[in-house]
Amino acid sequence: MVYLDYSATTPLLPCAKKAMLKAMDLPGNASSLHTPGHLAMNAIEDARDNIANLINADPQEIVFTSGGSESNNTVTNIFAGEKVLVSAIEHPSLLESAKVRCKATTIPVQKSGEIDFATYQNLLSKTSPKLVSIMLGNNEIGTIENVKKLAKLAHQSGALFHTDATQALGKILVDVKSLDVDYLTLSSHKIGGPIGIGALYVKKGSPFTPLIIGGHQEKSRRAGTYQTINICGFGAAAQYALQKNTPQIFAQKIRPLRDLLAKEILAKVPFASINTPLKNSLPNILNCSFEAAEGESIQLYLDLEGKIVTSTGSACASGDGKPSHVLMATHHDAEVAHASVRFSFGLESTKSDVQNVIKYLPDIVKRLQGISTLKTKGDQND
Amino acid sequence: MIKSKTAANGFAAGTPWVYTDIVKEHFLNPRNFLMGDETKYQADGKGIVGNPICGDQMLMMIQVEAKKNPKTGKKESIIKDVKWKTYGCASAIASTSALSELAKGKTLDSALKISAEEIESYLGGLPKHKFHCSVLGHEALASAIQDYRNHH
Repeated sequence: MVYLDYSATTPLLPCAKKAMLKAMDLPGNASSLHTPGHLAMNAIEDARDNIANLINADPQEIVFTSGGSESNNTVTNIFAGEKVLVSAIEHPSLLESAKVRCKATTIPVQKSGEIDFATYQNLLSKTSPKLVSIMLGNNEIGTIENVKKLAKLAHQSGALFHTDATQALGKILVDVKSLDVDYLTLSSHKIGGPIGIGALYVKKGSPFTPLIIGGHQEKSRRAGTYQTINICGFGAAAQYALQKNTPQIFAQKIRPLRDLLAKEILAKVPFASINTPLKNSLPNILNCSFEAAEGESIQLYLDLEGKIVTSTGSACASGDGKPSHVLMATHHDAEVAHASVRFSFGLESTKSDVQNVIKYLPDIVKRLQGISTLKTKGDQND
Repeated sequence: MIKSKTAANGFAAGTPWVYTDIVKEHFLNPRNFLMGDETKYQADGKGIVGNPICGDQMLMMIQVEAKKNPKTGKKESIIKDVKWKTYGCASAIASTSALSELAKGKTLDSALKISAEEIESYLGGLPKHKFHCSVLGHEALASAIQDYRNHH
């Protein structure tokens, strides 16, 4: 199998698996005041240290959650009823929960997915929000936002700043001090840790309200019995990212593969376009659209014929009948969204993965364009 | 090809994301599709439904011939050939392929009676949220038959 869906989830790293297996032999509830409880808590605090180190935070600023979605929901819950500004390309767990809980205004993005500073400044002064939330690296098209500058402008206008670093973690340097954000969302299973665990960085002194109440765990910031096994797996994956300096591996080994695929697609697949701003994006994400060819069909042909697994922004794949809100925000064109495929690379990706895509993709797209009721630009010029 | 009841993504059969082996077979080897320029096909009736904004569109084209029914001795309009094109998902491709097989050789009246449920059962089931894709093929065929009747 050619796995090019790392942005959906990553395979469990051997070191994470090892840490989890070891944690399975820790029988105690980490909140208990007996020896097994202490042993479990020690393992959890070691994991917390590793995660804090990875993002240059103080361990006490890390709150464990069930994952990125809960971390994002925790943030919008803190600002319930308040005015907030959120980018149009946030993950649904941020975007939708902000709309439900807060007085949310959406910040439009440019075609590249980047925020236009003048528009942003204007919205800051017009709405005087209590919180701004803009993701660090987009999960669908990979755009990197200038969070450092955006946070600075938010602070100048009196707002606090949250960034969702779920996709950016381990791919590029994530440093809470340098970014100067107040809240930051983290997820374990995008960096080789297990699914079902994440964290929220809460800068010391920032307002906080727990989303899940009824327990003193996490200094009363998140109730619920400690998930010792998952936390240990997350901690090991974070330690791996820090020790191996994975952002450097992504920059040196993975980005050239991603860029090669983009180049090959433009050269060999008819009527292809690249939705990812290659120069300002996470090193592992490539989002493309293919005129007149529907994304879910491309994805399924790649899977069934080439054993190549990817994602699509087409409505047929979303489950709610709507195409990708990210591509609608960047391109304002449903056909671009329906015809999109996301290739996302990981630490284990190789050049032969790229070669395999190029072996199958051109023919699949040509066939779909051939039976399509829509015209490609070439047909229209005939 | 995945033969077991568990698809490549690990979901068990029956969950909304899984296609049956028959759907996959029709998706991988669609019948009666038209590749390329549809104006070169001599259609007696044409119907197009759906909207690319919603992510799916279907074109059905039919050739019709008059044939004497050996039982009644009456002349009937029979669908001699069907060709289709689609901009759509796997479900749209498979269900249009299935419909084209079902419609061929039928009289116009009985072709109109092919229901979405019949297409679905021919395919061994479709994921629930994909049901509208097979309705769309059905509508395109009805529209092609209407188009034929408008002109003949």
